[in-house]
Amino acid sequence: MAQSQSPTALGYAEIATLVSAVTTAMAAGASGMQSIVGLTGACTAAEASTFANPGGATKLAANGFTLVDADTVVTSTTTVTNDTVELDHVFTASGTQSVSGFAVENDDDDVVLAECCFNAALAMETSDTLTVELKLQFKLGS
Amino acid sequence: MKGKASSGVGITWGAEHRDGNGVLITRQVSIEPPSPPTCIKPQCLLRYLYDALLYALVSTWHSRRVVYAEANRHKDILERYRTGEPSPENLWQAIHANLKLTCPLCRRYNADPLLFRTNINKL
Repeated sequence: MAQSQSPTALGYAEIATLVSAVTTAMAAGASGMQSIVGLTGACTAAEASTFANPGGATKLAANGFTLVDADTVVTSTTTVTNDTVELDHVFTASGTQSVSGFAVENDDDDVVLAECCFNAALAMETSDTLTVELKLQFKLGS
Repeated sequence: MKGKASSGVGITWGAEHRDGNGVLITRQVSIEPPSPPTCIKPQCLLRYLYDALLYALVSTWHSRRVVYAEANRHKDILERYRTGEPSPENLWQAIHANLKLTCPLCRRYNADPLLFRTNINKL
């Protein structure tokens, strides 16, 4: 019998559940997906990005795009059952604002879990809405 | 000897910009870059080059059409520039779509600048 190894489908679901549900109160030093913030300025998503400077852009702190808890964070299915953490949120602009992307953070608000930079910056005006969705899938292969 | 299983994390996203009345201004989607080649045969490398070039052109088209749609938020423009659908699916369509988007008359009359035809929805 040849050696072999593989992560499992149920393992993906377990990881996704942890990422979507663990709060600061449950685990000191680490927490799951919870918050979202709008970005402005030149934005390029990169693995080396930091909390202070996600996407090389500036985190917004006004006009409705400030750091908040996302509307919903749930597990969903992309390939195998519940292998994905899905975050949905609606920003409502309270002023004129250029938005070039968004960053998704943990419940502690000290780590950016993922960031997205748009094709081109959006020119938001008062009362405009920006509905965003981010899916983080755990899977075999890159 | 250590065994290694390659597991990964995939990210997809979407964003939809609407005005206060709920009218769509632009919709954006994530575009997957091509996977690196897994063999060094000429057809593998050529396939990768083709996919990389298509990816670059489609990305450029989406960037341009978002800029165009945002700049014309209160105007009547082709719906595909707001939704991004249909997106170019091959090099031919991507080249034509990019040229069309840079040509004001072509955009206005929905005409292909290379074929001199109008109402070419796939391009």
